[in-house]
Amino acid sequence: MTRSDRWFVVAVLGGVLAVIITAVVALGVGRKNVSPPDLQEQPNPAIPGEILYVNRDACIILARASGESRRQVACTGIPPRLLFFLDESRIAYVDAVPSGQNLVTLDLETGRELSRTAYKDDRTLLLQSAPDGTQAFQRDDGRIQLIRDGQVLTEIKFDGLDWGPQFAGWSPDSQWFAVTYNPPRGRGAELWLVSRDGAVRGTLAKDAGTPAIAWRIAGVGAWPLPPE
Amino acid sequence: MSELDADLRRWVEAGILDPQVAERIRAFEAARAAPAAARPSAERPGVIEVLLYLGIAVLAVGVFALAAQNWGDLASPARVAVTGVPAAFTLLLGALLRDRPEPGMRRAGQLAWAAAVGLTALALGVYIWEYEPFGLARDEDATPFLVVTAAATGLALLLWAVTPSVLQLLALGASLFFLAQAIGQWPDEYSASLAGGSLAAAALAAIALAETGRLVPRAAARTIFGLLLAVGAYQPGFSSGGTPWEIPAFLAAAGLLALGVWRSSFQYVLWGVLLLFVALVRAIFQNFSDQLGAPVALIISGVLLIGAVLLLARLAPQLRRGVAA
Repeated sequence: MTRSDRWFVVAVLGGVLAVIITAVVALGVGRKNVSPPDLQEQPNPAIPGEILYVNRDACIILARASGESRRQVACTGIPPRLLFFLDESRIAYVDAVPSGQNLVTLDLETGRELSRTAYKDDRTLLLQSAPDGTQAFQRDDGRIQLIRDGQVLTEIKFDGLDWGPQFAGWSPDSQWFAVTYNPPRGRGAELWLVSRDGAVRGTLAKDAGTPAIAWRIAGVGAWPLPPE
Repeated sequence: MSELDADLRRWVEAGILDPQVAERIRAFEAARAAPAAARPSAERPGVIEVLLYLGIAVLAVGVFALAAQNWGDLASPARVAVTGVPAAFTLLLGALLRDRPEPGMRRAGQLAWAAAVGLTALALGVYIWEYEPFGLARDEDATPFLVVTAAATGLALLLWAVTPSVLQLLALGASLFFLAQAIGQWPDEYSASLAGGSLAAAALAAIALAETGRLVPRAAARTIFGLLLAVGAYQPGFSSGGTPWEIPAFLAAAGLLALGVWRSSFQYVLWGVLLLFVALVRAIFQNFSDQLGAPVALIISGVLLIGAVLLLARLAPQLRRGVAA
């Protein structure tokens, strides 16, 4: 066997593998993009208000729901379970530490902690409810049913998902809701905003952490309501 | 007196063979047998060499276990160094030993290079995990796995080109297997057909190169890539694929059997028979066990096993004669 024979082997085997890998990667074999349009790239002015969400680094982000802008408010260390708009200048979050839950109030502008009190309420199930009384129910195959007074008003389908999104919260006008979706391959969780009829959808964030959001619309109010 | 001598004497005494012809046959067979008999014992690894390898392996396991125990306390550069230094050392050791006149030293060099392939893959994986270079995110597992296994395969291929030995072929075969699994891991959901198909395609190319005399040592190449072809063809149908994907396993088994008979290769026949047996049994249990019941399926499997053994027993002598010729 000559030296050129060896390099011929390297060229043939390397070539076969290079063709396979290039084809699989370039064609995106078996990969599907089920995410709605990225609102950071294509803002949608039809989606009203501002949203608080938690990113994967346990930082609270304030974003325009249309996707036009966003900024970090504060990093909490432990991912918050619940978020609230208290008023124009203050927000609050609930964290869960081994010793119990705390309601922490922050200055919205500076992110400075204003107060910390024990929190004993449990509002997790209430987050499924919209201000107008509509309830969101998640079904096994990824569908979300909107039910009021025992009647199914709408059924929102999310096609092409291996597993369904997780409901995160409602807008204060009850016309929009948010879900988080965990894409395969360990990519960061996404925060999707969906109109009540399912017709308009957008991806607000691709680095979402816990499915905790708070939503406020000027002139309408904030949701969920802050604890008393 | 050997069996050949006895036969030749009997044929000469019976007048079937001229004494001169018998003498020429003796000389021819003696010359044929000479290289093997004259082969120096150093061409084969001795007990001391094997024990030395065992000691080095135990030492290496100990060092890695120590590093693993303290992994949490190590900073990123230390983690990369713990894996990168052994990789560089084995690469250097292999390069230093490959041209030594002593066969034992050359074997040690080949072993060092085979280990270097795995260690380099490990070091690259740790580097990607710690530093996430070129946008390779540690949370996105498919791309780093593909990069690491492709790099390992490329290195194994280059080391084989420099020193075409059995150990370099083994390293190439192992890295090809993991590369194929990384390709199968690329889709959102693991694809056994993509992994198996990639493995089978690469193995087919390697078998073609082995049969044209370019991929050597040929016996080892036949063993390794025949096995990889069998595994690659089996994977799609019997991991998750279902009925249509079972067909490649039977096609590959038939192909290996035909190739084995054509090229007088016992390795191909062995893998072909084993693949046929395993695929048939799996297909029966996967598709018909409900209708047949487990006992009947077991009886059919037993008959298939007996058939496979008889087929091997029948073909083995012919193949040995073919190889000898």
